[in-house]
Amino acid sequence: MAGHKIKLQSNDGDIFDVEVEIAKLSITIKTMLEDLSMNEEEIIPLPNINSAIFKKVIQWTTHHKDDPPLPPEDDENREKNTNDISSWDQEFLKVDQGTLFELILAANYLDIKGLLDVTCTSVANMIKGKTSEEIRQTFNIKNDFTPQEEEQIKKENEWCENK
Amino acid sequence: MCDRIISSILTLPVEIVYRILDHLDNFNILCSIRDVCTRINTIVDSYHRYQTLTTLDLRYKSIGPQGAQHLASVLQQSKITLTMLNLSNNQIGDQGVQCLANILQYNKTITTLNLHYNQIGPQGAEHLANVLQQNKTLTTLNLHYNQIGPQGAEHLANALQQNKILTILDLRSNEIGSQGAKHLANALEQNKTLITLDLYNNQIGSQGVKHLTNALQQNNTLTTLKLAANQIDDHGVQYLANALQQNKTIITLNIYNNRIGSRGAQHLANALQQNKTLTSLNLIFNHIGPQGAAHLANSLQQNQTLTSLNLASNQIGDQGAEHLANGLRQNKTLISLTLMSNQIDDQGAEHFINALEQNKTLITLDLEYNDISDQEKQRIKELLCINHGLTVSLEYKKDKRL
Repeated sequence: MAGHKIKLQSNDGDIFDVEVEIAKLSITIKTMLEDLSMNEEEIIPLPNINSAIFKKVIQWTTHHKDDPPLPPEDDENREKNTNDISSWDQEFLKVDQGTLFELILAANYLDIKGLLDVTCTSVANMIKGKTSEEIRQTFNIKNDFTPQEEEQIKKENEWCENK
Repeated sequence: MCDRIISSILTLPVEIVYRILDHLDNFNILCSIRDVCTRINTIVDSYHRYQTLTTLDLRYKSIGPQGAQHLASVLQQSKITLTMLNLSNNQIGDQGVQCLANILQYNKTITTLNLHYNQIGPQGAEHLANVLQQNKTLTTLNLHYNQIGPQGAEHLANALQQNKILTILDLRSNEIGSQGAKHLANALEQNKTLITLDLYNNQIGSQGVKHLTNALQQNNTLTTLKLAANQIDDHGVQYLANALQQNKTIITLNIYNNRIGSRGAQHLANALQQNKTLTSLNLIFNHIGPQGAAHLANSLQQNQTLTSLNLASNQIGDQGAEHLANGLRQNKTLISLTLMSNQIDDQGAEHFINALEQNKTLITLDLEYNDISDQEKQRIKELLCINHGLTVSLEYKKDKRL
């Protein structure tokens, strides 16, 4: 039923008409439609997602609607070997950090594994090769170690400085 | 609209931070993400991969002295129980080694430490030696391709007199010289734990061999001794041969790329007639020649222990091949004979075809890189491989290691 659409509502009240096949890339929405046998005319509320972020999600799922399904996750060996991001996704992810983390949360809530993967990869790439202090600067994190803990870390770092 | 906290890495649920960590390698988890703030430390502490981390492979990470210092401090604080730490190719230097030595002093889990190619000098060796005196966990130490020199060898040797846990010590290419060998020999007289000592390319010379072989008369633990590329001549190999007549422990002797000629081979052959322990002898890149091959062949008639003999690149020729082939007629022990690159032609090959009729022990014969014609190769395949079940290598394979 190509072209068949459903209505999805963001938490700021906007209603989006989205093709069923694209919406179903979200396992959360797929489950709602199938298991809860929701009426297709009914508006499905998405209380955790605002319009701006939902627009980005639709943009991503529309581009990736024909991607082959990702292999199932293996809990034992989750370490990822590749951190390459396609050029389309790189362009798509040129957003401020707030938006990037909102996208991660949305992908997580909507259960869209591909989007969750690529957004997490993007954050990981921002961490790679940096020192702890550089990471604090990058993500605007306050160093909240107690003076004692800080002293401990410093002391251990000083071991060899005087020799 | 409700007030929203602006999303940041700190407001992400733990499970999502785990997902981000999934995309980071161990080095970034240990040395970048740890010690950023308390929340992230708590998450890392509970992260499955971090909790179960036992093998840390940090080769080629350009860690340097500073990185080693950071890594050491992280390892010190963290609760992970590493058993293997590989820091090969990281330019950590003496300063970096000192930091690592500090953690090894208290560490009770690391059994293998690889510091290959890290610009470690005598001072770095001294730091490690101080640790080895106390440490009760480390069994393998790889210092291949550093510059510890005779002085560094002395420090390590002093430690080895006390140490009761290290079994493998790799000191390849460390410029320790005969003096360094002397110190290690002193250690071997006392030490009862070391099983493998690799001194490849250390300019120890025949004088160094003399020191080591004196120690072998006392030592009953070392089973593998590697002295390749050390300018050992016939005189030096005589010390080794004399030691082998007494020694009942050495199983593997690796003396390739030295200056051993037919006289040296004769000494070794004499030893092999007595020795009942050595199973593997590697003589690649020496100058054994046909006469030396004759001596070794004679000893093969008596010896009942040696299973692997490697004589690649020794100018043995057809004459040497004939002797060895005849030696194999009687031998019931040798499993593998390597004669790669020895100027053996069809005549030499024919001796093996004839002699191996009777031999029922040899499994592999390596004749690559000789002057054997295609016709003769075909005969070998039919008569030795098909009829006799032998594996004979005839074509040089580029990826094959010596």
